[in-house]
Amino acid sequence: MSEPGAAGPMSVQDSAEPPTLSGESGPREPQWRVAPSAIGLWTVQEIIGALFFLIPAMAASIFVPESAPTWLVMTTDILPWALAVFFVAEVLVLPRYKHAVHRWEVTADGIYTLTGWLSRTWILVPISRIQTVDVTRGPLQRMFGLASVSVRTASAQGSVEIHQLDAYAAAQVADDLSKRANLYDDDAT
Amino acid sequence: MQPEPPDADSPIPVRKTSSSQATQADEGGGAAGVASEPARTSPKVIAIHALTIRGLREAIPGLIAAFAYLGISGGLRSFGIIGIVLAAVAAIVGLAALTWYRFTYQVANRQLIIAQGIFSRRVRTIPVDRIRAIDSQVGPLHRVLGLAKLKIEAAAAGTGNEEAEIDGLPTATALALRNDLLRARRRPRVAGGGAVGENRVGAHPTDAGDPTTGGLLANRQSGGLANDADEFSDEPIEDIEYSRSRASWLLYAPLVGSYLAIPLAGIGFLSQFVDDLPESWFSWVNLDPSTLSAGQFALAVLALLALLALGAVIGAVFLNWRFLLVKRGDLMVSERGLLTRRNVSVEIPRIRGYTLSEGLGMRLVRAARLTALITGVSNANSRSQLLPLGPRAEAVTVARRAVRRFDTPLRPHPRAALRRRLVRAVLPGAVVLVVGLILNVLSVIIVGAVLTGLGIPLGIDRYRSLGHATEGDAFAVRSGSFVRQTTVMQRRAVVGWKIQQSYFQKRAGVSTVTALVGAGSGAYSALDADSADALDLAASSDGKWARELLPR
Repeated sequence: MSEPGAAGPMSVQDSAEPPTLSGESGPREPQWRVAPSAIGLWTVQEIIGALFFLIPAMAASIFVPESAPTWLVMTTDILPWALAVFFVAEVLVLPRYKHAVHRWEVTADGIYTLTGWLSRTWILVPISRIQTVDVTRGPLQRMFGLASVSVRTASAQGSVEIHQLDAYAAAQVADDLSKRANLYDDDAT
Repeated sequence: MQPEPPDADSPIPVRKTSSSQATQADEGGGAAGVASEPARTSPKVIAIHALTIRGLREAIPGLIAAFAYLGISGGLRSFGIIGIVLAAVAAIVGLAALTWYRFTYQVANRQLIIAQGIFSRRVRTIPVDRIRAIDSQVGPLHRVLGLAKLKIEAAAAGTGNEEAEIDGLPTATALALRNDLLRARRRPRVAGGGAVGENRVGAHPTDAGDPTTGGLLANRQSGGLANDADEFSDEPIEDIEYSRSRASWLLYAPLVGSYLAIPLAGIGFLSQFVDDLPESWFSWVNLDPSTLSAGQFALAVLALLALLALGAVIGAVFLNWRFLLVKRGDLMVSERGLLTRRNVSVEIPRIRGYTLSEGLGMRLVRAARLTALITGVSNANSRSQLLPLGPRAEAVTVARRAVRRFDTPLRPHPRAALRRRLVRAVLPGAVVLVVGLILNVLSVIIVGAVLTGLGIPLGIDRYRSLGHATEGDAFAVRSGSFVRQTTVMQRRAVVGWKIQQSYFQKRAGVSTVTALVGAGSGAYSALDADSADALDLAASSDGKWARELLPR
């Protein structure tokens, strides 16, 4: 059995400026941030998502004829620009903000995460109740050297996902968690 | 490690999945319980297979092929209609017989092994430790022939429930097999078994110290099918009766949504055929909606409602007739049903709590239903019912006796929760109302106003339902208006905590705290609890792991 922090977050432990986002009476913040390269991945994802809106909007502004009703022409002229401004702001801000607020931690007895940027969700699952630990890597994650760890329990709704960990750290965490979960001999229900 | 039963270290048997003549070797090392070697069910089940639709369904592909061949070769004419019928019957019976012949079950090495399939074989192996509940059903046909059907629920965590079925065992064998399987499971940790503690006052020979409970199949030398009727004689277990239903409780059925659905489903089913019936059958029905007076219309609606209510009661009679709940050793056994009598056995240490459900209509007459939270058993199936339908007072008594007491009154949630419930209940109606006002359509305005008006009592009622409390090693949460659910569970059942706080919740100082459990619906929430209370509920959980939530 390893030390609580042994499976730790490698280079991620920049505990420099802990943002005080949680309320005074809220749960504690998990200590570790996800990998910094997650910002790059989220940026790419946001850009792809933005294109889904921008391309149709631009197509509309090109293909709507001048003879169409004025309100339609005006809307289709303005919409791409409005969307562009919104998405540029989103692409610049959101990934960094998410990186600032997403937290995770492997504690002495459990796995603890904090996700969500507008509405926030804390999940704590004790290691004694872990059923399976999976590491997954999508194609984009591969490009950025990232991986996700998902921890399942006996509850149909009780799985914990930690996205965008450093791939090496993710493997270490999964290994550590499943080894420690194995030390318990009951059926984890 | 748990104390392992004596036969656990015998080598894992090699199962031959391709042939029906399964290994004859004695795998259990002297295990001589029911079906220690591959056994078949009673041949009488062939009659059931053949008589039910199932036999016909399985025979259809073969019959079509046969008729096609005969049609082409001109053989049909020479056979005649009687010949065809005889051939069909022979085919159905033959297939039913093959189905029976190719079905074997076996209990060996702490595993239940079921092999089935006429052409493509399937061998299913269920470790006895994984068996959560066993359900025996005796339908009308089965009763005539003295047979029973066993359904075995084995939970594979996270991947949904797998159910195995053994159809057509003689009743005595079914009973013996059920007892064997239930007793054969590894004893779960009884350490925190508060759920049953108070009921263990009377001495029960099946309590942890008894060798027969831990020793399972291997300990029984007297086995063999012939002796199984004596099963109970060497175990003087007294049944403790928790609940016995009264016929009058079935009258609650029309107030419960799921029972009202029974006649509705029936009407839907029958309506498919109305179009196919000859028109002349309906010539006496002289209906023209435009000529109906208001009185006639009201009468028709009343008649329909009465019919629905009657259907609901009849449905409840079939399902829940003479419901009986008893404690038998460390098993919770329930029985119910009119034509098909169901008997469900659940291991008491697996019961981690209960849910008391009160629908809107049920609350009017103070009725309730009670289900148990059983680890590994989702509440999607009816297996966990402790009281299908009855007076609320009875449900509370059963919960207290069969599961645990919980007397602490629930702590209401802050005023902010009331505001949030009201906003949510009123908002949809208000949107409709505003749209109606903008479009200036009277009917939309009326609908919107009515919905908005109804939203207020709904929101207040939903707020009144909210509450949570802790008591000893258990806690309770309550929510819901259309169906108010009070769930009481042991802390040790919790496999994780989730705390959610939206931007608006944060401003209001409330959070939603959810206990994740490997039972029932998997998650039980205290909605909009005071943030400090929510944290407290989670952090004071079983063991020290949950304290990680608290600020350091």
